Amino acid sequence: MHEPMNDELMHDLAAVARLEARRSDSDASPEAPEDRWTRPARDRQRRDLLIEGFLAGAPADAPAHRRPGRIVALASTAFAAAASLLLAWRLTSPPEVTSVTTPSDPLGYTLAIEGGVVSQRGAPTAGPATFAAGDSIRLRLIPPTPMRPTLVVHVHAAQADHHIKLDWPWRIDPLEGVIEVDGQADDLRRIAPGTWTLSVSLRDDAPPHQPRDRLIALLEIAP
Amino acid sequence: MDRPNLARNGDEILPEDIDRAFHGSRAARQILADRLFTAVEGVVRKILRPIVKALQRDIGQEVEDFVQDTWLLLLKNDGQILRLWDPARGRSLSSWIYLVAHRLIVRRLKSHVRHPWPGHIDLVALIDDDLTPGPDAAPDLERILDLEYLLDRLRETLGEPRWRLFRQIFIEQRAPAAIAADEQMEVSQVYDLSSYFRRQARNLAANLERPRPPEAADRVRTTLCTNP
Repeated sequence: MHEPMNDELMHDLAAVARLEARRSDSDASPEAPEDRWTRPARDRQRRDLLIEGFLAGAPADAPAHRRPGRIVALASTAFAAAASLLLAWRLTSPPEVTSVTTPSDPLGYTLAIEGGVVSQRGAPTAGPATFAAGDSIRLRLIPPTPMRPTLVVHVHAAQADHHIKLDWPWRIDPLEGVIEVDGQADDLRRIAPGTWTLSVSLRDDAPPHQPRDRLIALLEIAP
Repeated sequence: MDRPNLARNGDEILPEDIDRAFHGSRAARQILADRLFTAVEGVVRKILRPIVKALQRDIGQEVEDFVQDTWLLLLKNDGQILRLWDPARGRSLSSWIYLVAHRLIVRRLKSHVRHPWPGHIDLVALIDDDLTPGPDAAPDLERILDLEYLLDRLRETLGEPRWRLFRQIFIEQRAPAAIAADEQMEVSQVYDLSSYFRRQARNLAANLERPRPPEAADRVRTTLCTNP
């Protein structure tokens, strides 16, 4: 009586070998006519957002292991308090900061996320802040200098095939221009857990509602 | 100010370059980001080629979605999945990205919840690797690396003539009678060989310890010492 020709180990070994052969074949195959249907959008907006999101976690050019001076300079009371809260494991997240330069003359706002839990305690380039069920999310947008712009705020979130507009309440400090947006992790979690890209756009309140700035942030929503 | 010290194309990026991008300058991170994104986009388009051929329509939006998810998967937790890449195992960076993206896409196409083409649930058969997806990406990829390592050791142990037969029996899954005819053997010999190959694989698997890549911190330290 012969043994069966396959078992789990042999099945998996063979599958791995076939997977590698498939990759090798795809490397060698010439461009197909259908490849034109797999081209991403021309404006590369999402690419820019993702790369900017990655760069937002970069340490300063020198020295290593120090937060960017720009961010340190922005450290408000909330960020100062974060240092002490780190020991308690809940903190104001390291700011996921960037200003995407879609507007021709951006106002220069920076964005900080408050609430959530850091994914790696003390890591110099910790990943996105993680938010669990029931957590509040506060987005704080800080101008480079006090200003009195008349703006409206729109927040969108994207993850894989989900693209949604978030109607989170916001307020603007009429003297300083600091904007705060308050949201709930559950608004994203009920759609899907995982990493979300938030896009916060600032537009003139008056028609034609010109874009004035746009900022992005990555959030991790726990399952 | 430190130098980015990155190589000229995606496949020439070294693990040390990735470590520098995470713990060095923004310039190093920018260079890594540009090259990595191009590589991710390229492999996702390649993986989806059989699917676009079947659908015969533009899937640029879905390509962007998979590129985004692969990108985030590679980089989350301080680049945990990206840093699992170990060129000492013979994989180029682009082939590692291919593996990561392929597993992610297959997992998504086997999901009823986040399937990008819900009306075409059978599309996964066009790219399925026939490996049961694990619940988490990192252990799932580690398991594949272990299997690859075992496969390499098995090939070394068997030698090329027997490896050729192993490939026909298990990888190509040819009928024993057809193999016997081509190789001028008895069918019973093919069965005996398959039993022998299985034993060899089990023995190797039981005693195999795949070398682990050095910790990222050690790697940086070593590099700094050797390249003052």
